[in-house]
Amino acid sequence: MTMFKIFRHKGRYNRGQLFPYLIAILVAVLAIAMITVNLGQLGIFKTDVSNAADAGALAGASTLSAYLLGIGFQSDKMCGVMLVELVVIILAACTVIGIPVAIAAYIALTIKQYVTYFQAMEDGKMAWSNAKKSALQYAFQNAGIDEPRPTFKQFLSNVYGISDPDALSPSTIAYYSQVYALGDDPSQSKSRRQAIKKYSQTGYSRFMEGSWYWDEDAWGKIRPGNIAPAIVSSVYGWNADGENSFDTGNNNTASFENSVKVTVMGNIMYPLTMYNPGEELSENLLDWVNEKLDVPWWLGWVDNVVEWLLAPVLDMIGSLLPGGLMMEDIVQNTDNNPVTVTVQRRKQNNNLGLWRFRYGIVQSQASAHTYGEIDADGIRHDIKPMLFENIATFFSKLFSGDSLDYRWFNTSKHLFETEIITTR
Amino acid sequence: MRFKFRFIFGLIILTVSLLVYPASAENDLNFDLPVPAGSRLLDSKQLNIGDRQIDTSLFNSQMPSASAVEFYLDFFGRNDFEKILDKTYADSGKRLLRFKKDSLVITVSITEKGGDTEIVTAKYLQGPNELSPEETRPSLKDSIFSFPESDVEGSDIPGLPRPSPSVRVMSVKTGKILSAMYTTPLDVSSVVDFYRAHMPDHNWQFRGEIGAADAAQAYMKASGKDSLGLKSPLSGGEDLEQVVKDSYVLNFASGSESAEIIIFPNFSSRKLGSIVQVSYSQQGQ
Repeated sequence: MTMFKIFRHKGRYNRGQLFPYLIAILVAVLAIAMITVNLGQLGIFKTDVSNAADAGALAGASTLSAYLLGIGFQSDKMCGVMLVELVVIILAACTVIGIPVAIAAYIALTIKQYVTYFQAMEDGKMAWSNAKKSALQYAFQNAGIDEPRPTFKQFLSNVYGISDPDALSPSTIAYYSQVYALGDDPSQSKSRRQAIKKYSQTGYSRFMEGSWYWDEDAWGKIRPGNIAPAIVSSVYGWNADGENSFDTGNNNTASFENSVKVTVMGNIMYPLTMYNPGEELSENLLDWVNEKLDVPWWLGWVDNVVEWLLAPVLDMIGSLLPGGLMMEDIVQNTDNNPVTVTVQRRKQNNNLGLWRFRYGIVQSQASAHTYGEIDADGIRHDIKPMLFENIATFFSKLFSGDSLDYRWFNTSKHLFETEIITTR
Repeated sequence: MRFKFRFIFGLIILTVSLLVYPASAENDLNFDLPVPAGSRLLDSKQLNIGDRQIDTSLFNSQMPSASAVEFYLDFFGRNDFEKILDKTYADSGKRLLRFKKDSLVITVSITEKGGDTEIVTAKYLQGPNELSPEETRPSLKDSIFSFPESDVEGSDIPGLPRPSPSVRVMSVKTGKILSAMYTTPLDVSSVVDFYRAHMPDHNWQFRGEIGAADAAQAYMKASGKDSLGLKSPLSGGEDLEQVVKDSYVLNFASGSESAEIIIFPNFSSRKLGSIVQVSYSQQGQ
């Protein structure tokens, strides 16, 4: 009965009455399509921001891992210098009359090692500054900055005042397009070259190329000893028409349609200490001295020359023998000491006519660290000198003049890995 | 009457002199210590350790070592010396005898060497409440701890100047590094100026200068310690911690060659000037 009614009613419809429904369906489909497209755009937008944070954090941690590897090599070198100099010191002391020379050689070794330590500390400060700079660089590079490059027409107009490119000869156009592509023409005046540079590249390119994301006045140059703040933050803004914060010098990025703000947080230096194997070696010091002792005749009346004259020197060596670099709590200072990068991407609302799509601010944060892995031998990678043998055994061989034609240090134990530990 | 008085006075003086003589003899380093017959004096040296003078002599004797020991035991026994040490060293076979009478301490070391006997004697004075030299902490001011007064064996490093005046106290090749050490009466800043001025004459380019005070400061700050932990082994010298802090390291390069100059105050006494260690190395060597 009901079915019949329906067919009866349908039979009463006039032609064209379906159109309003079709329009409604079309609008709905269009809206859904727009939402899908814009959600897709938003997805890309968020992915860019997330990638930027990850890339920045990893770049920062990689810089630190390279520093730690370098400092491990330095540590080995210091240990090698110490071992070789210790032979000289002990041999000089064994003659008894050479004790002043032995003390002088010990002082020279101590000075040399502390100066190397100082340089490593200064490099460590630079490493953290450099890590922050790398993090900023990689974050900006991966933030999906889509600033339009000035067009060839804009380039000709702004640099050369040419308003009608069609009037140019093919060879002239070829010349200008080459300059536009290269972004420079050394044959031109300084002001013209600056204009070429400005109108052939985006402000963003020049922002990156000149490392303007690194505020040298506020955070210092990247050089040994300079400490950058724990938190550094840099921002770049641009409009769809090419106007940008780099060329306008406008730090108020809210006035631009788009902006990317990168904030990097991390430590300022590594707390290095001195590896002191004196205590480790002190048990054998007396044996080594007795092995080479050469007492001058005029001390023949002394009951125990070693105890009286050499023990104080050995005590000095045993209490402080600067033989490399180390970090007291390596896990705390590497694994638990990450570089954290926060990327904020702002895009003004997009008016698509039918629907004003809201982007707003999208933020992502990533932390990455560098860590010393534990190898198959159960040894945690470290910056401490890594001799292939026990240090006392090794020194005994060196002291006896054994030919040490094999490698001294296992440098692979200074390798540090890098990984992202958190993302938000 | 007058003659009588003079005679009595003379007798008193003679008696007092005779009574005092044996005691004064054992309080005097001029005590004449005999040596076994046929012994030959090879060398003698006067040492100054603390405030004490020690006279040492080296003899060579044809007498068997056991007979030499008997000779001394007999001599000191007859002269009322107390034997305070009698020790034989297993490794060298050396016999060390030490005798004391009043303040005079005499040590005799007898060792058989290649069929002959080597005898070393040492005499010093030790008052009743004084410590023996071996019980006294050695001092940098002791004569046994003086730097060489003329260049030791070896050579200077070619192309690396040395301050004038200076004495080469060490020359060594350790691994791939050539090093030489000099003492000079010039102070640290004069030596720094010398190298900065003269290294370019030898085609060295200045690469950098670091004062160890900065390094020490950085270490103490990072480690939370109030010193580097340097322990002076001998008494009487400068504070080693301060010696290190007052030092400078200069670095120079010339192509693949590099030179490092370490300059620090003389730790025996700053008044004696400074000590310089120069090192040379070549990359890829």
